[in-house]
Amino acid sequence: MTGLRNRAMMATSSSAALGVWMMAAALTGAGRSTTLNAVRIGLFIPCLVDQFMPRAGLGVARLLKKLGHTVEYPAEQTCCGQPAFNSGIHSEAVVLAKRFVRVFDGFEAVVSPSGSCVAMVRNFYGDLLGARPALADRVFEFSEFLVEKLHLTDVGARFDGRVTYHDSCHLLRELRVESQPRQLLRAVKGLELVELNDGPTCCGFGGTFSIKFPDVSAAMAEDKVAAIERTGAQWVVAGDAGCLMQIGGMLSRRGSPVKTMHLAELLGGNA
Amino acid sequence: MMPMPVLEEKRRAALARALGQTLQKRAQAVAEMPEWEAMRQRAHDIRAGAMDRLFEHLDAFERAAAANGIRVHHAATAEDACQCVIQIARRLGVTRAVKSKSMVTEEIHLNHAMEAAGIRPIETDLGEFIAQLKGDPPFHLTAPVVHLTRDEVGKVLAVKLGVPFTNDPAKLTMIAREVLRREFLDARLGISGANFLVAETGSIVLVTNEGNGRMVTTLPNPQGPRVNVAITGIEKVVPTLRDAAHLLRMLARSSAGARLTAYTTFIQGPRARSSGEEPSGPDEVHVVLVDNGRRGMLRDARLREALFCIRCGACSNICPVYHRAGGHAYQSVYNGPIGAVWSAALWDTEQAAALPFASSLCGACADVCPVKIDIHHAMLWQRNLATLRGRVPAWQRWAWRLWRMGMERAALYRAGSRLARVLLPQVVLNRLARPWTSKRDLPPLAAKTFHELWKEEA
Repeated sequence: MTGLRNRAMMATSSSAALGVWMMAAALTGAGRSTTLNAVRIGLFIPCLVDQFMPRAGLGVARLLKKLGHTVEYPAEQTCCGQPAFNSGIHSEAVVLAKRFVRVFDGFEAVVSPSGSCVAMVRNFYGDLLGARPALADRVFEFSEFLVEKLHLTDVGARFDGRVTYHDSCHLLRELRVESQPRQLLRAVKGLELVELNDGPTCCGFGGTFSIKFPDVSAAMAEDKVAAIERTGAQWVVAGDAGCLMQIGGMLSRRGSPVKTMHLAELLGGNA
Repeated sequence: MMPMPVLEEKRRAALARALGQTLQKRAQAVAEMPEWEAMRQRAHDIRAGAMDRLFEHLDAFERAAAANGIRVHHAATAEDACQCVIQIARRLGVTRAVKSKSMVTEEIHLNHAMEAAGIRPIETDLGEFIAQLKGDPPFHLTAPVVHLTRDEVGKVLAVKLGVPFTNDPAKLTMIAREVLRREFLDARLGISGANFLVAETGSIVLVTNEGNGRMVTTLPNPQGPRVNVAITGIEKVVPTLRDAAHLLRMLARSSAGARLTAYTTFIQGPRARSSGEEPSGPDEVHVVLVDNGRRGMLRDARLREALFCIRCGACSNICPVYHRAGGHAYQSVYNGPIGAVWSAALWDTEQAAALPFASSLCGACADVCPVKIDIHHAMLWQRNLATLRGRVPAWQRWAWRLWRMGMERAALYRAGSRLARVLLPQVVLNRLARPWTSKRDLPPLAAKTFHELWKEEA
């Protein structure tokens, strides 16, 4: 009981801190890094980023640190539970969701280089846990955090090349993050952003969908890759590791010269 | 898990063109309405209100319809609904019936039941007419043969009707028209669906683009009494005419990109028998209200929204899975995204339960839905229902359990990822991930995880 009460108090005090931060941000013209120094940002690195594209995680960490924020990586973190939740195994997902809330509840803001995993926490934890945790409002996707919370579009990055941006479905339709990554990319020196103009349509990853329905999934990836190649871009950039694995896997199979890169790595990899 | 093959390349391209054109027209029709989002919300609210007090509205409809001379029947199951129609046909002594397009009659397999009872149903919607000749289930909610080329349609008509082959759409339409015109005039039983039932007026609202719906429901027959039966789901009721008018606009713009469907018919009841001044209209009008599992959907807060569906087909038109696999791959009368939800909600079979998994959960369907059904989130819920109902094999549940136990212990997860890098070279990983690697490459694991890089950086 005491543990529970402590946790509840921790949650309350951290939401209070967020309130103070928001007020301070509003008073000082919003989001200057000086007002944010007191805020502890928890870094949420999803499994696929941890395993396949760790430099995206480093990008987020370096950039936020460079901007003067305190960034912590709770080493206890593992998975948010999304794969089990999307597979209909709520009984297993709920264990990991509770664990996630425990690990991150002390942070005023949690930032992650993944639209999909942030959507899981923000949009689905309420349903899964029976009550929406306060933490759900403090978890942000990285590009959304930069533009909406820090009011920053130019992160001072440089990248030479022609780049197209793929909208991950969860960023686009679960979080409604569409303009933010584009604003950030347009501000990168040396980078030419070309639009994909294909819908935006899903790349066909869909987590376990890509394994349960490999033919349909791959057919979707083929069309996506064809659309990417039509743009003449040298790089395709996205905010979700799953999409990048799917698109990258198909580009590689077709021997395409187009390369993939996570948005966070492009923006912060060399910060 | 059900296999879901991809359509052959040529058909896939043709389907993408056809659906793409419809979507384009929809986009234009939506762009004409700057208040589209508010219109969607209103449509959603109308349908939500209708479902909140469904049985009150149904009672009101039944009273108003009865006052207009319409006879209302209730069918708890598909079997009941079919028997109801067959009894009406037997009483009339007919062996043929003309039908306008109705998904509910597909759902209850009415044609099959009628044929077994010795009554021949004749589909009069051009697409359904072709599908019936070919012996195919509908490929799409609103366009039953959208997947066929004009050559294929020409062949079906040539073989089944014994006419000379042509692939000219105008000529093909004229052939169908000639056959159907005779059927319309001879028919004594007309069967339709209903797009909406209006509670306040007792009206049956029917839309078609070919006018066949009106032919089926309004022509009298000098040879004897002419009877109409409208078969529809209990969820089709809306409180007022104003509500129906709003939904008609949403339906036409979403399904065909039109401002209004070409023929919109409000059926108020049989023609007045006493006066000779009303030459058109049937002698009897019946409505069969089909439940067949809808009450169950109504009770489930997360599936209730699916009952808002007005069958526009826009979700299929935009669905990337539907585009690649096509309607028949769902192996269900209701296909595409909302069809997957409905199928799994109505039928407790392994096949139907698998359909909500056949989605990348991209959510494009929900964005085009004119009544704002959270289609992909309903699928997410149904995936859990599949688990709760024991449809997920035990080995899979155990695999998830082990996975979760690993993820609960950070040290175990870290040790596992270190071990994978030592024990699992790419060749082995590729083999393990066969369904993935059959079509694409598996990107290599990063040499070091973020966790390790973070420690180095600190």
